[in-house]
Amino acid sequence: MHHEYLDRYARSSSPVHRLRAIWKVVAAVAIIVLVVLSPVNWTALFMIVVCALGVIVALSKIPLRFVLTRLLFAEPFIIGVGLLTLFQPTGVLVFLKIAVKGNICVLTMVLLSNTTPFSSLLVVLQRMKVPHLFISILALMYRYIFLLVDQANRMRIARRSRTMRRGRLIAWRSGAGIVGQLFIRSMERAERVYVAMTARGWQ
Amino acid sequence: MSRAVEVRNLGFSYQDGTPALRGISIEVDHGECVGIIGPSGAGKSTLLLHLNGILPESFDGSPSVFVNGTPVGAATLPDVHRQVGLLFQDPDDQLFCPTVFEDVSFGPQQFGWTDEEVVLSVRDALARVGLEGFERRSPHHLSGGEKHLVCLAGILACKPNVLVLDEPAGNLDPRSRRKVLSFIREQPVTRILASHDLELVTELCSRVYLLDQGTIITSGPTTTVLGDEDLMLAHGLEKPHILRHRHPHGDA
Amino acid sequence: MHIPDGFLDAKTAGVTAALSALAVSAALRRLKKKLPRRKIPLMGLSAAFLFVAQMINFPVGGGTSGHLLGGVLSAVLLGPAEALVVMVSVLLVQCFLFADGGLVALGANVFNMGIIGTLFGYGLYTALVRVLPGERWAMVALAVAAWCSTVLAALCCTGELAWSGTVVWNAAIVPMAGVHMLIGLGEALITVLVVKAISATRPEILMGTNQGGQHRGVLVAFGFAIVFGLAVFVAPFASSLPDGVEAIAARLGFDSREVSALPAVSPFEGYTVRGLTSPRVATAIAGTAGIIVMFFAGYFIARMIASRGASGEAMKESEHAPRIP
Repeated sequence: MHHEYLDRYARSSSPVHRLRAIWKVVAAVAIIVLVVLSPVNWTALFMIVVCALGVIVALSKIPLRFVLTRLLFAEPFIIGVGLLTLFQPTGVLVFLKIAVKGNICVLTMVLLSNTTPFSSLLVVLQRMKVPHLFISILALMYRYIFLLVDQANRMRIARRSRTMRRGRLIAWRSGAGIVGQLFIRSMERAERVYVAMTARGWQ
Repeated sequence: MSRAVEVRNLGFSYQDGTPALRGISIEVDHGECVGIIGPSGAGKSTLLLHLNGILPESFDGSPSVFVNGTPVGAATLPDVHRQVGLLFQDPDDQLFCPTVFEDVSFGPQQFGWTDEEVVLSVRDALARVGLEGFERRSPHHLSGGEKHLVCLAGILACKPNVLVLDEPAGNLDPRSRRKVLSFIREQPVTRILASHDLELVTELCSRVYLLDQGTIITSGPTTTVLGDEDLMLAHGLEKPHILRHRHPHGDA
Repeated sequence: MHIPDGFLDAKTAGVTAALSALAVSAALRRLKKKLPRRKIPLMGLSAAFLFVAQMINFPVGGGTSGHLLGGVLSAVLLGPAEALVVMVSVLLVQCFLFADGGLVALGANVFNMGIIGTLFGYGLYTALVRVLPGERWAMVALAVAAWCSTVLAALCCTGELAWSGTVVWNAAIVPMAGVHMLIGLGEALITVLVVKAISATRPEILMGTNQGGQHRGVLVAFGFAIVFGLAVFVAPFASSLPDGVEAIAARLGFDSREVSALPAVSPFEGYTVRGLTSPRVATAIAGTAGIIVMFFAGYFIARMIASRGASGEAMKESEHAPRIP
């Protein structure tokens, strides 16, 4: 479990990174909606969109390999459903449709998340009148994900160093124990965070 | 002229009834740096939480804590939060925003300052702790020392009159520890710190209060109290090395 | 089970989004009135916890591993409305940071994993514990609720895909339901083990969330979303199952009635991929290849141009006057 790759390039510098977050969000949403709603045979449209995305990838200076690796994460679902679609009439067309549309949308999201710091995205959401409860939760969540990943890794290593036997049930009990401990520690930390927020005048 | 912080006969029990503090009385003058020492579980952190008004959870009865003459109560809480800056033991509990800027600006924004005031205070606070340019950094990628300093900046940004610090240098590497130490030493405002690190207390505090089992055992000049080896050992502490190699009436 | 974009058509995305919006706004309105401020950091940390917990591998065998969804778990630990909001937050971040789950498909994913996976599961759990009191039975109820909500969520997911024309229900339901019945066992097991681990060290956590009844308006909203969704995405297909079975029976000669008009194809019919040689397909494949080519064309051309211009460009650091982000 690595947290580095989550948005490794979000804070880099490039012409794309320097664009204001709101425009990038609007553009990403527009592309996704456009691609999703377009009939499958508008190949020319998809070509244009994809070419534009390729240009953006280049300008953003994000390594191409990174982008392609992130795309890979979406493939299991696409292939899984794809296998199902292949065994139906006109199945190949449906498969191509979901493969093309799915990958374009994933690519767009990967680009957006790696050219926009998360806090900028939160500001955009705030301006879009997303309820304040969500904003607070998303901010806290993002802040503590990395910490929890580190904690979980340390717990995993600690457990592994004390486990002599292998086996699936052991692994499951260990995993469940880690999840349980993680929740308890998160809960206790949440209490302390609440106190810290109150101490600085949280309204 | 009222004292910076005054505690009069403070008592506090946890929800399950266990008494945590009994008959605590403390006086701190403006600009002083006072230490609160004692073994684990003595109630140091609980006491500190009273100085900022986080405890007690509800204020009934007569006030026990006074900041600059003002009693700490439900009505005065917002102002007390601003006046008394509280630094917690674990910086990860206190750095709860996605970026350094948002975290340091949290207090000023809560207190309703204008955007320009907020930006200015953040920049100023970060400069004072020596972390200019850290605004866009994410807390997770900071070193331990940097985290402590950002927490300090977050408190400074509120322009407090009193700094209350719980283990300000816990677990820091020597260089960061020196940074934090010299920072605390140079502050003109009133400082109250609780710590197990008796070397730190000796270096920074002119007076200490010794707390054990929720009551004040004694108080006095740092070298006198910490130099009393029997007293220290009796309360789960020990005489710091810095005093072993120093004349008790020398520089304090 | 995170559905990416491009799998659902507009009407499916719209209906699921509407149902999800209904449930989420009901939850928000309820929380606005009743949520103590103290619980907000808890929800934030719980969202982080759930995000991380969903990343933990539980080896299944053959190199694959299963993952926790945690819907029922969250609802039991936090409360249903809180858990829904937390789950939505997790899905949002997964969509944005991982591109796991699409943006347009967010409504569907919230419906499957939030409304069915969390709310329905919690409802089932509370109903079961009311009928079977006692701690031992509570664990059973937890397991049953976790399993059922996982399977039902998979059914809804299949229904949504079928309604969009992406898959054919009769063909997809067997693998989807089958796989998720197994995954559901894992979910049930992990949920029970985690709750047991928590109750061993901090039992009071579990006490705290058994607040009395939920507000009626919220229950109505949740219930409506669940029932409507099931009615749209599961019921119609479930009811066509007999027709599908009839069709197969007729083909096999068991029934002399007219074969139903449904284009149901059973995987058992042979593994020839239909229509591979038709000209439409050939064009589509060519088009897809062209799309891929265009991506790389755009990329490499832009890189050439950018690197030619970048040699004189200094890297501007935008840290001068920090704006409020």
